[in-house]
Amino acid sequence: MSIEFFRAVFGTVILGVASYGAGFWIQTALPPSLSRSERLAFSCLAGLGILGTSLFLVGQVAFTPLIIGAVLSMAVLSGIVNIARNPGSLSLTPEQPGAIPILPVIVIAFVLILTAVAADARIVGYENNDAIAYHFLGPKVWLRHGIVRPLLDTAYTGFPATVEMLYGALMVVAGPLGPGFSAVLTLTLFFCVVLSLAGRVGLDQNGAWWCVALVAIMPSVYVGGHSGFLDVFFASIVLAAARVAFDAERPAEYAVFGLFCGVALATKYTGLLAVSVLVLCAIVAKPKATPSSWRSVLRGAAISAAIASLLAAPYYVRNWIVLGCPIYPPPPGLSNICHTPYLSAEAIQEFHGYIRMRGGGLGRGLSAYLMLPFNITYHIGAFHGRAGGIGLAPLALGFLGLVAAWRDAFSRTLALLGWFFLTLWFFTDQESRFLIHGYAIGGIFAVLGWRYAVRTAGRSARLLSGAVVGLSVLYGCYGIVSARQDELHAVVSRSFAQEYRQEWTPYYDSFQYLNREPAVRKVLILDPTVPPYYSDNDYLEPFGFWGERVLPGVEEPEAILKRLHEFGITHVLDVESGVSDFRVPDNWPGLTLVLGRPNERVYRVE
Amino acid sequence: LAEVILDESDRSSGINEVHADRWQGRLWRAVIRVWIAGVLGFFFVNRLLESETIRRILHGVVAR
Repeated sequence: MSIEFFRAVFGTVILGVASYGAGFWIQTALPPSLSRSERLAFSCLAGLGILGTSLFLVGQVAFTPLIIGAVLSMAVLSGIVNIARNPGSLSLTPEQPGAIPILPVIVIAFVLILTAVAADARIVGYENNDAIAYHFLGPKVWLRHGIVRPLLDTAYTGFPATVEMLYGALMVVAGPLGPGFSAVLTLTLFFCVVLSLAGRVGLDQNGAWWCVALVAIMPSVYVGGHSGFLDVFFASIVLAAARVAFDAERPAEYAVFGLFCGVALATKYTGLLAVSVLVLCAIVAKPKATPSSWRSVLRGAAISAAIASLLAAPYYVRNWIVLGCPIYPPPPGLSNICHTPYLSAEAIQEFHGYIRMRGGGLGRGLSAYLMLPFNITYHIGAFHGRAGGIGLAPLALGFLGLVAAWRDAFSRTLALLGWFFLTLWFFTDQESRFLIHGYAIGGIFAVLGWRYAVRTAGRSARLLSGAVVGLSVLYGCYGIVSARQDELHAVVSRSFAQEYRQEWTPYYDSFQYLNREPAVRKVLILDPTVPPYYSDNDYLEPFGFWGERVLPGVEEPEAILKRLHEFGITHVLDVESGVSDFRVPDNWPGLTLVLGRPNERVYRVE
Repeated sequence: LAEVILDESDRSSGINEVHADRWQGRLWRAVIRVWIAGVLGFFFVNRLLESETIRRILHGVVAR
């Protein structure tokens, strides 16, 4: 383990304490059905959202290590003062009777330890890796510039950036491995939310822990929770919102529901759909579930909507002002209304086409819809990237769980919510990671079904369902370990770590040179497939991956080459990627070749 | 007499309901077992069919 690794652990602990400090005040506003340990997890989760949004707001003026340190220090101090005043609030002792079951805990510990160990390897990848393309690029550049502004060459940095702000803070306090290691914190909080939901639908301690184990070991869930991916954090927020909403009675409880909805909207655009469904379930299903009157439910929904809008507004308003559209890149409905100076209409159309193609997933149409449970179980490998799978348990046991829990209003509403998530996902962007909250609900109903099968269908059902759960766990272990085998190998072998970094860092030699050479101040990157994340110096990438135009009106690379001094360029990175056919012509006046490799060249500007 | 007939009718329908309940219970238990076994079984079939070796063998058989 390196020094950087211990710094990452330290920084993540700081972030954990700060999240408690920023969110502890919601504890008294949570519904009474939440236990003390659940309140702790929910307050940390809300605290992360509050911290991210606070950093975003402060970052509009200044985003420097000093400012970040001040924000974190205030939150940490608030957390420590609260702990000193109320030490019982940190108690993790379960309120439910019975010992914690050993097998599911081993499974959960395995996932967390694997995540922690693999985080010792640096996260590398090409432009198609979201972490490299924008999750880490944004905060790295914002820290360098000392201000948070969307990068005009990377439209994705206009996405809501709550988690990216936390990554920025981690880069300061936890070092380069910090954002990767923070997955241990976010996965733990996600597991706490699943545990809370499982307990609320009536499962005992043993069953609730099995729910967490089944969800934790799903490769499709895990893939969205490490190496910079924020889908697990988003799923935690959505599920926490559901947990609070379905039990909310008082206005304060609805306010906390609104807070979680706001954090969801401030984390991912898919939050817009998830929050609509959450509010709908909270309004429509709730009056039947509890004796609350319609008037109080509607008032509660209005409070939630107001708080959610207030919390998420900074991201959308900023985009509207700076980029020309609140949602950027603009979706089909907005693209005709908004004027986006840095993204042409053709580029937007191309982007929509790509999203439609990529989101095709398991197909469209009624038959594909009806086959969803089957296809998600057996054919989820058809997705882009290493989507993994969710195991057999949700398909084999989920519907039995539905039968078993149908009389319970909370479970019924949760099932309705899961169905809404699945349907929305099917009709929009079928990217496996975007359904993690749905998978978690599937895992909960699987354990309810497991219990029901054992109770109803005797010994053979006990054996069969045991085999389903066992196979799901083994399959998940295999999927997760094989997905991270390179990182694990890199942790134990220094030579492989070097080899791995070299193989997975595009244009490794050029970036090594550019980051090492003291004369380099600003690099011109002409090829849109080069990930600027690897540059430790300022850069100019005039043409982005999605056709972004940093300098409206400038369409030709030659035009930039003629104005190098005007833009303060000191070096030019010229590569042959196979995507862009432009190469810097030989003997271009004012450029001296300082590094030459078969597909990459670095020029110094004289 | 009418009361006796009605009592007898109620009793026999009660017995039939118990029979029906038992029969439905057995059917439901069988459905649960078959469903779980089916999902498990299909997993192995699917794995086999997706395996490159089996695909090659099947391709060879079809080609012959």
